[in-house]
Amino acid sequence: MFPQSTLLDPPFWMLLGALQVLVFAGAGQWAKHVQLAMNWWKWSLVGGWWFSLLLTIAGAFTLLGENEGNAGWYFLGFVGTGLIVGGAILLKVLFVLNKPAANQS
Amino acid sequence: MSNQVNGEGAAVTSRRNFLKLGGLAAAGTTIGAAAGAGFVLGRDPDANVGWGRTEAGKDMFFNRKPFEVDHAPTLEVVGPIERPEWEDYLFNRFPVIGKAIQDGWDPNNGWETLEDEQVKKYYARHPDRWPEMLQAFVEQNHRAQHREKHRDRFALAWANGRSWLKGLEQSNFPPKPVDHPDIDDFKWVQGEPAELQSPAHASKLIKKMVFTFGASIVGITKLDPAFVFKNMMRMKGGNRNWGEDIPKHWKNIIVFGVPMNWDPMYAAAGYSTSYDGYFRAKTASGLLAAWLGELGYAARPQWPGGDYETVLPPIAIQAGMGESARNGVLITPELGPNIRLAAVITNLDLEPDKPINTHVRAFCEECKICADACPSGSISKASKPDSVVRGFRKFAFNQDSCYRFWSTAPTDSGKGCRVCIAVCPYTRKNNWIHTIVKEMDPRDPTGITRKTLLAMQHNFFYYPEAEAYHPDWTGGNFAGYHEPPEWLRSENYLKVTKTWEYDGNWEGF
Repeated sequence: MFPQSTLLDPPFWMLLGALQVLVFAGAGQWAKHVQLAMNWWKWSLVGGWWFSLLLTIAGAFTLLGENEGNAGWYFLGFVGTGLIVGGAILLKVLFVLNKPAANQS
Repeated sequence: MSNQVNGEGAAVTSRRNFLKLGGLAAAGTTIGAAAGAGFVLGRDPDANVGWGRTEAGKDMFFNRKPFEVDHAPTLEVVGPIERPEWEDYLFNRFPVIGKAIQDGWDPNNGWETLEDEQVKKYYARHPDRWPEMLQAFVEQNHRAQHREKHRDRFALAWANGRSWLKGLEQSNFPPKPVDHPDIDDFKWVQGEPAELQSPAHASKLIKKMVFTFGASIVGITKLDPAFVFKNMMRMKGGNRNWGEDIPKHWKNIIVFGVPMNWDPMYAAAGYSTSYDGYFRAKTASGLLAAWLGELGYAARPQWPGGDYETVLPPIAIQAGMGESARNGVLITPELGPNIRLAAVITNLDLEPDKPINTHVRAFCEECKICADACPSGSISKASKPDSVVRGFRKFAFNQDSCYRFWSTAPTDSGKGCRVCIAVCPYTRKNNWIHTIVKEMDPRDPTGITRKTLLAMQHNFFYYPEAEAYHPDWTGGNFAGYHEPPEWLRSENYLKVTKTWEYDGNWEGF
């Protein structure tokens, strides 16, 4: 079963890694579009949030895959909700921090 | 010129739009891929420790070196150490009582009227356990009366278990010892002993061979007399009346184990079996004994279900394989308690392993999931170890009431339960989400990882009630910790009408 396939498994992970370039290139364009001044530590926070979200989804579905149905959905519900709330707060912080920088320019 | 500028502007806008939309699409794809990959990794048979990476020694993936200690924390000595007696072993007592009943003895007259002095001695020490053993015989009769009504449901599970049992019982490898150990343990010795470069070289090579012979986890220790039975030695005619001697050539012991097949084990009690683990462990013990003999060394294999002169779990703890759990069995970092042990005693000089401390005791003190799930209430629910067994502090465990449920359970042979093994949070496959926790918890001095994990275990995971594991004739609904795997569901392969519902964890869709 893919991606357990001996042939397809390595290309799958390579493609998933390559997709992340597109994800962050697109995020950069969106940041410009909404006039967010990003720097290295802001990108680190965004990257950390994105990585945590992916791990949470993958973790929940790993539990589902090994027949721990309850645990999978609860994990996704509790940790996922926390991450969505955390992401909204992070976005708000980015916009709040953006104001002085916008005034200076 | 103007057109050229407009054209470049349009291209830039187009590229930006592509990146914006492409980025969104890539993000959505990544989320889907994370879910899909996660699900497949959860299903991944490569996560089944003991099934595929064994020979390379990669089942034993946990680095024990940072956790080595001089004294195992779960083998705490608090009194005079006593060696185990012949009658301490349930499968020595049980046939004696069974034969007495067959010969006309009335068990209602009480254990005091038994003729066998050794069995009487055991129940004189544990009189509270006698009613449990009596009830086990009653339950066996109930089980025999009701079991066939459920054959349609359990046909494939019972066929699986009994196939392994046939292999275990019918094969004569390794052969049961028949002579005095001074003769029998040398029966495969070929000439003078080969000289190894050092005990360290010998231990390294032995471990490689144990993996090659099919075991997943291995450890080596000097044979501690504290865990050698008194009055017990397998020879022609039985294993009794030996005395207290320990053969001089019994110097070191190589102990090793294999997991039971994961998915049936998770579906304990009715769909599970121990015999696959027993068969593999027994075979590995025979192969290692033969290998030692070829090199000129004595070998005394110990194998399940009952071919022992030693108590293997504490020996495995001394050999650094793991630690003692609340339910009294061995917990290893890789397999949890899903391990079946065998061993070989030898006169070969070996470098022993050291015991480890991965803070299992602290985990067991807080967890209690096995005690809450136990269908016979045999496992202590105390917050601290509440019993002293032959000088060692342990959690109390009632082996007779445990056996009573074995005799009740809808398994292939009425000889097992395994619910405490299935529900243990350490009994988790080697996939990334569990292995991260297994690596983090022993390294976390604050205990935050343990407490977080246990909060999730207690609140997120589904555990059927203890009574639900019982068969319907004793008030249960044949629950398992997991629902049975697809290949043990008879309705998927046999011409049967499904009249039952499953109770247990499932994939959640």
